[in-house]
Amino acid sequence: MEHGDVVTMFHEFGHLMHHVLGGDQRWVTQSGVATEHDFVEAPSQMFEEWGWSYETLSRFAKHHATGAVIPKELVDKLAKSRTFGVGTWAVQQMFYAAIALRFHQVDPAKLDQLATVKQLQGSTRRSPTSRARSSTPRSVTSSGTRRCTTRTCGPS
Amino acid sequence: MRKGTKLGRIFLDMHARDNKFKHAAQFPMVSGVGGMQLPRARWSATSPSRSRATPR
Repeated sequence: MEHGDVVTMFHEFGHLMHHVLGGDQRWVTQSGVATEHDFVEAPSQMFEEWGWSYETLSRFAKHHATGAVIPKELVDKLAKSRTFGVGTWAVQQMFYAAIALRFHQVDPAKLDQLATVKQLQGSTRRSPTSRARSSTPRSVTSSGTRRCTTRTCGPS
Repeated sequence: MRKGTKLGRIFLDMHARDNKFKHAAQFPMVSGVGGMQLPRARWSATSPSRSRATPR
């Protein structure tokens, strides 16, 4: 198994534990993994953390040929590389969300997809100039509905 | 917590085969109801599809 497989293993095992340990319920509709959709992955994601713990990995992770226990240095390297690129990933997700939101906000007949995407690309790119441009204050439409820029959208 | 008490059953179905679900997953089989039925769930995996047969 590769490290990703091990993390997946802990993840699915987390679902199993959720189902079993949460299974002493009065009603089937509230039993085990039958929960709110935005929570259903929470226990399994917590279980993934075992896959990043040297103390845990060293109990079973062995070299396939020599049988040597996984070196602490290797687990440390895994931990160091874990957050590589997550900032870029998050910005990308925000960009996708902004596209979906902006497409939803306008009259489909007047939607210029390419122009909209180009504009949003400009406001999510992480350069100093684009950051200055995207910090434009919120504007208010004539109907009084608040329209927000890409970076300011959110519950408030 | 509840030492010696049977809480549920899990089934491991770890290896890939034809026509099997292609991703790792957990499938509830029986939902637990206190005092009436124990929870059961299946853990479905596809090893060793994602890993190389022989690790480097």
